[in-house]
Amino acid sequence: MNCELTEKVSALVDGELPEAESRELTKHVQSCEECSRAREDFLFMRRQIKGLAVDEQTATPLRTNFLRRRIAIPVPVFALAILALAGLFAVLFVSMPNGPENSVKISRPDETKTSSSSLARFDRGGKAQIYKEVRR
Amino acid sequence: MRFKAILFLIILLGLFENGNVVSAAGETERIKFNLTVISESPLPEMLSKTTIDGPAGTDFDVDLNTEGFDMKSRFVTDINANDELFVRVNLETRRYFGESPNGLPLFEEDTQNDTLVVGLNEVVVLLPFGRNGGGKTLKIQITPERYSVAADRPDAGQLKIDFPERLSSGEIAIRARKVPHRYQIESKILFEGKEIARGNGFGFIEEFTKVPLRLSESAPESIRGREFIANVAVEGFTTNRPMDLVSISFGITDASGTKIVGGKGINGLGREFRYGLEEELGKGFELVIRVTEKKQ
Repeated sequence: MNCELTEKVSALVDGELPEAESRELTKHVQSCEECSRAREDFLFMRRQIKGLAVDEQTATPLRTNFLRRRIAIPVPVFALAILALAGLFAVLFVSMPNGPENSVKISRPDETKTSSSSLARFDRGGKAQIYKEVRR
Repeated sequence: MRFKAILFLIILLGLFENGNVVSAAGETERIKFNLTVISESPLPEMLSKTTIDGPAGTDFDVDLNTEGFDMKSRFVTDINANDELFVRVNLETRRYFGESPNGLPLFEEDTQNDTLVVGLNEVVVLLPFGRNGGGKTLKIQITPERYSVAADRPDAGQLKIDFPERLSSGEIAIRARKVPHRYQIESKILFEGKEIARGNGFGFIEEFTKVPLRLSESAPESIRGREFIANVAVEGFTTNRPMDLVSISFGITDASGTKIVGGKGINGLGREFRYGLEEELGKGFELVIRVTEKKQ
């Protein structure tokens, strides 16, 4: 980099220089090959950056549209999905260790399948008793 | 005078020979228990009958094992000082209750202890499932019958069990045994091998007996002035060779009842059972318990 003014080319391209200095530098750039090349480079970079900005501007509406499409689920489908989720929660709740269906299962003696010859046929859940009585 | 005293002692020894109650007329008292299992509904129906016939003081067990229900009952019987038959009952039941949330079986358990003094005109009734409010009720009726036989009969001290009517399902098991019920308990505390406290007492099987230990003058300073009471129970008797065994439960308390030491052990009948008291009283102290059968 031999030209001392090349450093200011960037400010010129960005329009940051005072008007008089800008006019003089513009004249210089036309005659200085190095500054001219630098200006071309800066302009190229600026176009690239501008292009990205344009892409950003065009991409945002696309995403918004996509979101709009997702939200726009038909009501019956949405209702079915909610029902399916409710069903899933119910299944998970039942399978929990302390769920109501998994509390202590009581086996009443009269529910016990006993054979007619087994003494268990006398069992109705009563407490054993022992006492004495007068001989008959 | 001395001759009369010796004669009196000889007669006494003859009366209480072998632990069996022998009457003055040379008769041994025996007892018969008729155990009848009855279904009480709709009409009384006898399901099984068992007869236990043995010397006075014969004990027996009645166990019932059926679907979802277990019962264990122990009957210790004896003749008390008033010549009455008393029956000490230990009843344990276990019934299937259901399932835990984790699928494990749950049982409801119950234990009852009772002592009944049974008159000549009375029977003992056991309802394993309780009263069923007019429904089918299972009843086990135990009818005692006291009688005497000549002491010199070979079977005077024998124990017999007979099953004239068996329950076909085999859900009820009945066992009988004759073991000593009364014991003499001797308890000592030793210090460096020398006796420094002693006490004696009499106990009935499975019952705790308090034996106050009297300190001797040779007791070391560290325990002088303190009071010790040994609590000893003979929990079981096992006929064994070369000597019978007793399982004992023991402890020492001070005068206020605060427990100093406690434990359990099995020892030969008449043999000394030793337990170190280093931690409780200090180095060199030892508890000695000796249980012997008390002849009636």
